Amino acid sequence: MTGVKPGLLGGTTWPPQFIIVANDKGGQGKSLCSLAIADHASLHQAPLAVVQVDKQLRLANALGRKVLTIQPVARDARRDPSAESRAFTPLYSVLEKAVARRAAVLVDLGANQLERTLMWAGLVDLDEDLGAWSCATTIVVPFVAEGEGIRQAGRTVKLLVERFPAAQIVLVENERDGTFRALHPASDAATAYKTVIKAVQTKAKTLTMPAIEAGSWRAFEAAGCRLIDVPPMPPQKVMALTGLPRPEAKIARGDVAAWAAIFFSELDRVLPWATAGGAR
Amino acid sequence: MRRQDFDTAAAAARVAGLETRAKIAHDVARDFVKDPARFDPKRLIHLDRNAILEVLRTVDEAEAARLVAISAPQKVGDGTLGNSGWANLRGPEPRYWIRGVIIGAATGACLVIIIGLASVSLG
Repeated sequence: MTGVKPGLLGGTTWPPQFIIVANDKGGQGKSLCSLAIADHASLHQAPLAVVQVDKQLRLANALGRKVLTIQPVARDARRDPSAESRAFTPLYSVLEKAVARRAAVLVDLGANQLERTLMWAGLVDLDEDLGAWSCATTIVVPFVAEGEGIRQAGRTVKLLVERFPAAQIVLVENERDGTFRALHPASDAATAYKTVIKAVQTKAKTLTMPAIEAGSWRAFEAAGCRLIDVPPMPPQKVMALTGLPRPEAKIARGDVAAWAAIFFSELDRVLPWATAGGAR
Repeated sequence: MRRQDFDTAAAAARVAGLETRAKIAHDVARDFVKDPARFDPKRLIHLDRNAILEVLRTVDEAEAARLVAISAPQKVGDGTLGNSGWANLRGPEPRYWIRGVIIGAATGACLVIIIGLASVSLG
């Protein structure tokens, strides 16, 4: 169910951490961002439990069975309103266990799952409990260079900060659909960026998530690979997994390796196991 | 895998990918120059921006070299018509004005002679 391995938990020095990856709009790079955070933790030998609140199981597919999945219960909720909060009970249990073991918990909130999660967090007074456990909260909000994604990112930050006022905010500029510097000043996206993101940026850290060249990640994602598995993979294995010919397989592996190296160094700036100079 | 091992593996994979991409860009450009009609554009899919620029640069250079070869002046008397463009089809310009003046003058002279002969014979 969880990624907390008892063998990994002894002797860790990191404070417990609650990391939420969210943007209420789909297609903003949340799952890839969550996968990168999980792999980053793995590289630093940091114990991490992974939870996804989503209909899609992309993260579970990539990380295997070590993911707790909380799916929507809309039909049940109409008949039984407490079904919604019961659905989140396993998340609370994971948090309790992780705090006891000084581990981190990563929650990947799928599109349109923000409000039900926040409602549950309000019901159980999660922020107060996190404070009592000395568990720091980090809110990670990825967004691409398009107007609606940016506006939803601003709304997501606003709602999450209302519920977790002491949280560290991390904005992730996903350059998949183009860079933010290249936005035309008269475009809808540039206007949204100016009005929404600039206002939040004063109290947030901003990371850049570069585009993966030529869609090279797609074939690995379809094969259920993790980012950290790709660079050391021999070309024959890449060819077998992706169905690409040898030259293209080497190119795709190189693109994913370059992307992961860049994004991991961005994550170094905000994740506690990296900033505390964790195991390297 | 630890972070340092990952960074080493990632750097090696990145270099291998860049080298392969540069080689593919070179091969794609060479095949395009050789026979543009049989070129398969799907081969560009795995090229990034830099590699596509490299392909364009190579194709551009090959095209420039071809144009220079075409426009090089032919040696006088080398007896070849190759690469001469339209020069071999060029002929003298038709001189309609001079031709008109000559035909007009001849017609006028003929008329004068005929009228003269007719007036002599009628007495």
